[in-house]
Amino acid sequence: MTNNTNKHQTLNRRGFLKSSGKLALSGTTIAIVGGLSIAHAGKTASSKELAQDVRILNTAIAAEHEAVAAYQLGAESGLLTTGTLKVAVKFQGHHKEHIDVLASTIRKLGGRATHAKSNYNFPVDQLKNEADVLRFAASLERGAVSAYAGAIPLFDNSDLAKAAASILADEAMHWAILRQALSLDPVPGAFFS
Amino acid sequence: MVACFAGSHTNAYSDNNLDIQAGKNIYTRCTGCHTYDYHRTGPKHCGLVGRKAGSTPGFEYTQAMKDSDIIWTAATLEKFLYSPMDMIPGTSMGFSGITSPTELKQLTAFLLSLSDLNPLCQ
Repeated sequence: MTNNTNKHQTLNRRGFLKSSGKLALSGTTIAIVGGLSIAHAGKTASSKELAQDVRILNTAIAAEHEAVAAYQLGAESGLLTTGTLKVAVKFQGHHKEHIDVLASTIRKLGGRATHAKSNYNFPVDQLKNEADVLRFAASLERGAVSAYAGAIPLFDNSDLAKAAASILADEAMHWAILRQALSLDPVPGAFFS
Repeated sequence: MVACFAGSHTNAYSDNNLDIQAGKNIYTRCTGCHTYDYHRTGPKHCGLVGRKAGSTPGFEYTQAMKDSDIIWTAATLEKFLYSPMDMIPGTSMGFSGITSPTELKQLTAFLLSLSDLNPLCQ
């Protein structure tokens, strides 16, 4: 236990940057959704089921837009060092890719994807230094993992569940890396709730 | 007899405080879309109790939520959080729900505590 504690405490920002350079999931996600079928378990989905799926996906897109805006706020804050800024922009790019995939999926289902808001309420007055920005980003990523975890059981369509799980995994990695950068245990438990 | 009542009240209050604290931890699951005091993807939760569903100014609710005629109380919150889409088909809250009765009670206790007097709401 002591060794583990020491281990995560010694993973500093340099480790954060090295780890984040290894992330690359978007191609896989696109491949998953590219084969999207609107048949549910051998039967054609009803319009009611499709409408529900579109609503869930649009809620996910709204949260992804918020994440993009939050990373933009962090990037423009002047509080991030060069290396951290690079990673923040990379994570923001992932969220943009999530939006693209989710919007494409909604169009395939016959729906219309929600757009970004013109402005977002962020606790700007609480962001005084790099650690504050990282904590804020970590809280959003943690929330996003919860949101996808709570949405996945609602999908009848296993293609949608797979795509959402792929996005969840990416956002869980963001969360872990941000926690590591904050000298917190990057993986605080065997299960997530 | 008075002491007995007083003791019961104290225990009930303590239990409720424990539920609120546990509920606050459970609330982290809601933070993908919600926070206490401002609207995000979902509406804020301060001042929720006693309010008609879909009525908070400044948030764009689904028609289903606005038409639900639900008043948020402990009972309606527990029912909604157990399975949002079953209680209000057409809600945009894409969350499968909380099935543990204990967690439902705790999360509801926390939401009930978010009155305008709560420091989290000021």
